[in-house]
Amino acid sequence: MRYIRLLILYAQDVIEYRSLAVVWFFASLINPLLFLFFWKGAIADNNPTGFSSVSDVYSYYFLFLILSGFLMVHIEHEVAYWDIKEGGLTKYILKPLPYITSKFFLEVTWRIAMGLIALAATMILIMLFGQLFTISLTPVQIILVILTSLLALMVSFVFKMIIGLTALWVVDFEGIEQFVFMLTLLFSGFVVPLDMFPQYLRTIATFLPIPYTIYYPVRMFQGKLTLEQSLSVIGIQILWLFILSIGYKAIWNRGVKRFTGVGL
Amino acid sequence: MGSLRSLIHRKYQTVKAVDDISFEIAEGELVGFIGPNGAGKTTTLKCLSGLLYPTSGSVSVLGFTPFDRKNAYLKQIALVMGQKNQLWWDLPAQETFLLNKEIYEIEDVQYKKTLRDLVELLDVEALLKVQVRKLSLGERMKMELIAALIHSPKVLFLDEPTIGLDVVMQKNMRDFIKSYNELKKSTILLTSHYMEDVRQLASRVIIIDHGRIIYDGKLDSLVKKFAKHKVLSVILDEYVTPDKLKTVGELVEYNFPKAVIRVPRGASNVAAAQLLQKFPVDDLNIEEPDIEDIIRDVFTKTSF
Amino acid sequence: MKRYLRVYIKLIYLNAAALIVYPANFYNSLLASLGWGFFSLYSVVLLTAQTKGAFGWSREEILLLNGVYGIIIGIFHTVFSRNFGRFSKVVHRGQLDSVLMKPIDSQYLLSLWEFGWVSISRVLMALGYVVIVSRSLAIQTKLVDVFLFLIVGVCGILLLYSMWYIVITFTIWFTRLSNLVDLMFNITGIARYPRSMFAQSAGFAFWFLFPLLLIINIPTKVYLRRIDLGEIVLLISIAILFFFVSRVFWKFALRHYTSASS
Repeated sequence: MRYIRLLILYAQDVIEYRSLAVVWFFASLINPLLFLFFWKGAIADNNPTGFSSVSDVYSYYFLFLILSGFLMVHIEHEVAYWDIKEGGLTKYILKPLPYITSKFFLEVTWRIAMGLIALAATMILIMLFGQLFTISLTPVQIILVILTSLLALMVSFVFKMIIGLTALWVVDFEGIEQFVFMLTLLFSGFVVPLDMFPQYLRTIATFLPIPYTIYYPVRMFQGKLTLEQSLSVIGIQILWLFILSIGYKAIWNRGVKRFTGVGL
Repeated sequence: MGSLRSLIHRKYQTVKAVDDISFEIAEGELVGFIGPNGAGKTTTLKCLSGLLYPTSGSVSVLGFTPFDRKNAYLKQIALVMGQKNQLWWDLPAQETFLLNKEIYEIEDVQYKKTLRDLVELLDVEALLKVQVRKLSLGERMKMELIAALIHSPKVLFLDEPTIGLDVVMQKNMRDFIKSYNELKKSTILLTSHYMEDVRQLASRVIIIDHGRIIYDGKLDSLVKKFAKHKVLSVILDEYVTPDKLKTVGELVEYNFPKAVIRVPRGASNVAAAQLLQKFPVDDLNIEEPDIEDIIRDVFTKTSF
Repeated sequence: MKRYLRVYIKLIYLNAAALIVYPANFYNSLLASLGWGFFSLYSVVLLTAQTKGAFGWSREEILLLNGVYGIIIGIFHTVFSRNFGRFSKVVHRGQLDSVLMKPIDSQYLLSLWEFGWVSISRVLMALGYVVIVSRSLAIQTKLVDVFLFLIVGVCGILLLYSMWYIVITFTIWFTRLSNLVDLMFNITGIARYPRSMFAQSAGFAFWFLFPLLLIINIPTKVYLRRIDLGEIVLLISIAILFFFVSRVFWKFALRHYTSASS
């Protein structure tokens, strides 16, 4: 099966960059750990609404770490620089496989690798510091969690693909990349859960797909959402996937013409 | 899955780049180091300029031990290596020169004079105020040279100065090196794997192979003795028997349609004309013998 | 020496000139810098939104701490950051040779080659933020305090620089680790939190982080008039120690670089 072959090919890519990946991983551990430290101390005095207990804090940030490894897509960087700016896109266009499919397999390999690393690190931390939190989910919840995670990955993927394609029209992609990165950090719930946001920020969040790529899956994993809420999250994810897919098609068609037209 | 194995187990090898080299060079000399790739030329230059620490032996240049990298020493030498650039990309080359002026503590008067000399020699007056990124490769190289020489070094190390250049640029570079040596009376050591560089420039040549010196002496004698031949490389239109080709000269290689014939240096033009007249030739090249050939010759001879 | 100053002035000028050549890039960098500055300040506002205080610091004091972090980090970005970012490239592409051939200290040249004019915007932003937060804390500053704050702040920057330089020197051995800088940025982020937040943590980690926790905490305490002479002396001596170590370690690394081959 050529898809397996593709996965293995890309896996070799990932292994080549092992030292970089290890460094990145440790870098990404630090901020969540810092937030944990903060809450450990602050929670007793303050009773914030988003966290009901210290184990709640642990489960939130650790689940966030693991899920962001598996679900947070970073493909826009490659798309913009290697494929568009440096012209690597040509080799994809010449293949009988749609561009988005090739990229999807590439990204999936990275996600699996990063996710497993994050999982491993969490296991190690749990072994070192003892059982910090528990997760108990009913079978129904487990199914919903899996479903929402898959949808989250796809929403995140199509969203980032669209962002990457903007490089076809924009000279300074770095600015867009930084901006989207900041937005993602903010609205994914990286700093604090969204229910601790001030009202105006929560309103803005409802118009973005970002919370549905990480935040809600994390909350579902924690078991914080009722059946009704979970189903509505999944519904909105499907809606976002639909909207973004249409958007992607439109942008891709225009973009390909631009790319192969005059040459960038 | 080679990459998976290397995840766990990596192999390393020790290689001796330079193994027992000794020589002395006097002030103002222009010496050429030649040898095939990997012979140890660059390593020798790096030792002389202070970038590498020799595992044994002593090095002395201008009375200094290069490896100490004393500022007083560095101010008097320059090392120019390939495409490594020091010019600020988005600014006119002139700005980099001024930066170097501060770093090397060059006096105003001296700076102006040196700059004028170099600019004249390289003919780049009009380009001084042009952004480096807008210059052509040849122009950029000239600016790199000026940046490297603005502090009037007494000793100049040039590593493969003509590599990657087209024929015209190669000639310009050689002319520049010769003029610079005459004008400034500075000592120049250059490495190359092109015979032509050395032929044009150096009166003395040192041949290095596998990290050892094979020959150290006047160029004339070397050329007379070993670069006695020229090589004609021919592409034939129709098959010609080897015997017929041998009438023109020594048939070194014959893989139809390509044939390689060696002839004495002076006879190369005559031989070429013969080939073109007598045989159906599609393409003909007259080439210098490979430096590997010359070195092989030197190696196999027991006395000079 | 005077020469080092003259060269630095020239470098600052060259960086400014290079910036002006592409105005579009300049504005984009400026926006990115302001964006990150804002995010850096806002994230702690968010984190503490439902908190009145923690670890012996009130919420306003924690915000102030983060503001001081913004100022010091802003200065660090202006003077040093870009150089750490290009370090791996310089070593990897053999440009280190060109640096070593110059008759001037290599650590100096590598640390100060690029000057991040754009990051001055972050310093100003953080400065404004500190002024605003100070109002709610009703702090009255005297000239002596400012002077002391400056000394302690400079030592903090020196310490931060030295720590970074020691870490980045490892690039000489591990040339492929181009993202060491990212790791360092994240680790440096620890400095924006109160030291007491880590008081109970695992001994080993605490000692490793210890110098970092001095860099911002102590200047802020000075600002808040919680002056502890012992702590100030500690910061100054550790800063000098680390700087000394960075020099020694760098010379050691160069010996290794020049004995192997490139």
